[in-house]
Parts: sequence; structure tokens; C-alpha cells
Amino acid sequence: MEKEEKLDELEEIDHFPFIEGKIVDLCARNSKHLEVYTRWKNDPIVRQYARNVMPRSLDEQKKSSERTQGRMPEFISFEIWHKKDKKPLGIIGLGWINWVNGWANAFIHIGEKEYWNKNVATEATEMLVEYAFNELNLNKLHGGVAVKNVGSWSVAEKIGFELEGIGKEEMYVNGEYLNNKTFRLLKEDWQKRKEKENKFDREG
Amino acid sequence: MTETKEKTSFPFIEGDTIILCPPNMDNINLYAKWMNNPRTRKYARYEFPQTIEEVKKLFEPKEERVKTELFFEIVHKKDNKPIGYTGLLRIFWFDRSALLFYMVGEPEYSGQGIATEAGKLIVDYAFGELNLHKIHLYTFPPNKASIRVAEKIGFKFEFSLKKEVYIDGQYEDKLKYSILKKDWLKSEERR
Amino acid sequence: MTEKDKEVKEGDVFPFLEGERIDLVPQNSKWIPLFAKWQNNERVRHYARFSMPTTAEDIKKWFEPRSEGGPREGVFFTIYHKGDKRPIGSMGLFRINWIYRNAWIMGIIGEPEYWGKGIIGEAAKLLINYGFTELNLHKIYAGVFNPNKRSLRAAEKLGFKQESLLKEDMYVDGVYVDTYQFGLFKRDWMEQNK
Repeated sequence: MEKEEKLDELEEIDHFPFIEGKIVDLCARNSKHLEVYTRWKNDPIVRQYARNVMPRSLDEQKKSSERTQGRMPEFISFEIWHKKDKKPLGIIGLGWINWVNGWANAFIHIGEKEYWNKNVATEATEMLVEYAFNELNLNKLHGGVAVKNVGSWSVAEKIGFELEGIGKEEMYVNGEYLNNKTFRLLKEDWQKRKEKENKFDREG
Repeated sequence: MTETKEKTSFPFIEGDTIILCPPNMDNINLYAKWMNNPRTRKYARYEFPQTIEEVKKLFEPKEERVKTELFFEIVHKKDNKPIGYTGLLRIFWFDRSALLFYMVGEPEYSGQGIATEAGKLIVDYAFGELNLHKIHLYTFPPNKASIRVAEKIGFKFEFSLKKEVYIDGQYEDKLKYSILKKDWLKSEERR
Repeated sequence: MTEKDKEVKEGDVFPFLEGERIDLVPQNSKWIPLFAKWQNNERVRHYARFSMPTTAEDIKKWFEPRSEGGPREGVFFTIYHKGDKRPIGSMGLFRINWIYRNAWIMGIIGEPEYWGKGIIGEAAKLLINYGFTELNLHKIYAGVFNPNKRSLRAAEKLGFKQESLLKEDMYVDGVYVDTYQFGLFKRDWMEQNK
């Protein structure tokens, strides 16, 4: 009888925290949430700025989550899990990781629209940045946004990303060409900022 | 041991001094030589040695239904031999943008405007045939020759990526140049 | 046939790192019988610790297509003698950890006439420089077992410092021997080679 109960408990584990925060945790992707991920990937509003131009089926989503064994990955992604409301909100991660040169693209997609503009993105991005610099030992992060989407990258500026440049007419969204604002965050700049903040906290 | 090989180079785009052809499996050795040579690989960013098997794999027909990369061999018309390669990478068909690359592998042909001619042919092809909207290329501050080539082809400096690549023991900036179709059209009208 | 044609036909050798007497070149499957000969040679394998016989088929596996994506765990070269125009050994970085940015180095000279001439030192210098200035590594390790005095001297000459002693770590010629673990930091290498 006891053994069965234990197995049921295992079945109920609904998320796998990898990095813990205050409002959200960053968790390993969960195959049980495949449907939710697929919904986000296809949602007309969410997908516009995530640059998903092709429809994605459940099977395709499943396949894309499989990682090649035993090699340094080019993509590392996390599920953003809301601690209080106990649900997945979106995906955050690093893409096109170039290990030799030590840089990666940071991306974040909040699939649940009610959580846009609610500090979720800021906390999750801070956690990702710390992971990239302090655990993966990377040197630089890129981020980019098509200019009309102001929401997601004011987050970046809060954390300390600087504007690297603007690529004119680089992304085709909703029938027009938009400019692509590229941001950068160098580890050395991030560390200096952290030191200043810590100093302020101690003296403040 | 002399062999007469059947000509397996198929001209695709013709220029004044050069012709651009699809990759030729008979010349894999040459491609491997260029990708490994310390002088040519430095700014082309080949950080790892390439065996012949690995180079062959790059040219195997891929499963993707729509190509995101195009590679051309540069053949010198008068001397009738392959001297480098050029093409487009990261072709994003929805944003209609792509990345231009070129390399003159045989040292006697550098400094003769070959890279410029190859780049111009690809740019014309990309805008005139593939109907692309924007082309970029990347280069590095120490590589003055490549910067001159980019400007001669008509590229404009867009911005620099700070401390982006690790070359010779330190981080260097990477420079982004680009050209939009409408600018290319204007220069075409002037011709 | 022009000089240029001759060059390409001769041995398919593509220098990747250039030295004085030797170049480090990508491995060529035409040399598989040589690699097999070296790895089985009694004296070579004694120091390199290949305890099992190697067949040509085993070596062929090195050339099988790697899986896609991400940088490799090891980078291997053939040591090619420029004057004599022949492959004479192997050298490489392995167990590359891209997060910790470190790797191990190993090398062998397979052809006996080239032993004792400082060639390993010359090849190692090229490879270490590549590891630090191109692959952006932080530290390189080398392992040497005690009776192998030549390798110990070679490591120290290159600037490696002994970091640990693993007692009775390896079994060589019927007895247990100690292994030394050496380390070399990028900052020290750059300092040495200004």
C-alpha cells in the first residue's frame, strides 16, 4: 500500500527547480507541459515577437526538446515556474552558445499574457544572467528585440544591458520591416554593477 | 602519375576575371587546405582543424527542404583553376536577410580585387535573383583589407560588437556592415 | 603538371599550426596504418599507456562523422615533419571542459628516428599556444607517471608546475607507480611568451 502511495507522489511532482528565485523558479523543461509549450509557440500574439513564423505541432515540439547526448549544447532553456500560482509561465534561456568565444544569445518568452509587465521577466532574466556568468563562465550575452516590442527589453536595460547597435529593417513582423535593437552585457560590466549594488546595500 | 580529370565545374555566375560555381567534390582537398591554413583561417574563424571527412560532410546534401546556406567555388577564368570560395550563410527567408562570406585561398591571387568582384557578384545575385532585402557581413578591425573590400562592394558600417571574438589571446570587437536592397538599387541605377 | 598541382597531390597535408621543423595538421585517414603502427609499438605504448592492441578498424572510428552541434571534447593533430615530408607523431587536447575552460594535453612521437630531438617540445608549444590564444582556455593539465623522466623534464621546460602526486596510480611493468599532475595557466604562458 505504501509503495503505491510513494509512486503517486512521484507522479505529482510538477516542476523541477534548477535555480530558485523569490517570485519564480527556473526549472528544467517538463515533458508533462508539452501542450502548454506548444500552445505558447502557436499563440498569435506571443509568437509574433518570439519569431515563430511556422506553426508547430505537438510532435514537432517534442522533437525539438531532445538534446544530443554528450556534447556541449548550443541551446539551454528553462521553464519559468510561478511559485505562488504553481504554473509554468514561459521559457527563458540561452541560444547559439559559442563556447570558444564565450557568448550566447539570451531570450525570454512569457507565454501567459496576464504575467506580462509583472516583474516576472525581470527576476527570471536576472537569474539567467547570473547563471550564464557565474556557472557557465561565459563572457558576454546578446539580446535583441524588434523595436516595436518595448516591453521585453526595458527589462534588459534594468539589469544593465547596453545598446550595441540597431540593425535597420532586419525583422519582418506583421507586414512591415522593423529595426532590430541589439543589446550586450559583458561579464566585467555586470560584475562591476553588482559590486556597486552590494556596496550600496551595505552602506545604505 | 598524371590523370586527366573530367571537368566537373559548372559555371553558375560569370564575372570579368572569375566564375562562381557550385562546390566541386573533386576539390575538397583545396577547401580543406584553405580552411586549415593559419593565414586564411584566422579571420574566417575556423578555430578547429578540419579533416577531409569533416569538410566533405559540410557539402553533403542536407535534409532541409529550403537551403539556408549557399556556397560557391571561385574559379579564375584565365588560369582555369579554383582559387577560393564565397557565398551566403544564415539565409532567413522571412526576414529576407543573409550573411555574405568570401575567401581567396590561394595567396598569389590576393590583392587583385578578386574578393571584391566575388562579393559584388553575390550581392547582385542575392538582390536580383533571390529577392533578399538585406545582406550583412562581419569583419574585424585589424583586417583592413577586408574592410576595404566591404566598402568597395557598397556595404556601410552598421555597428560594432564589443569584445565579441577571441583572437590571438584577447577579445576583439567584431564589425557589422550591411547593405539594403534599396541602396543597391540606387547604385545599380547609377551604373 | 605545375608545381601547384604537385603540392595538392602530395599527401593531402593541410598545415593548421605552423612550426619550424614540424607543423600540426588535421589527421588524414590515409595515415590510419601509421597511427595503428604507432599505438601498437612497444616503446611508444609503454609511455603513452596503450595497454590493449589497436587495430586499423579501431583507428577508423576516429574519422566517423561526429554528431552535430557544439564544440568538441578533444582536438587532435598529426605532427608532420616539414623537411622530410612525413607524419611522425600525434598530439592533442582532450577532456576539454568548456565551462571550466581547461583541457589535458598528450602527445607521442611514433617514428623512432625522431625521438630525443626535442620535437615533442616544439609540437607542445604550438598546441599550448593554440589552446590559450585561440580556444580561450584558462588552464591546461598534463599527466606524467614517475619513471618517465623525459616527460617530466619536458613538462617543466614548458612551464608546467607540479600540482599533485597520485600515489600508486598506474600499473606499469609489473609495479604500481605514482602519477604527477601538472598544470599550466594561461596567464603564466602569456607572461613567459611575451
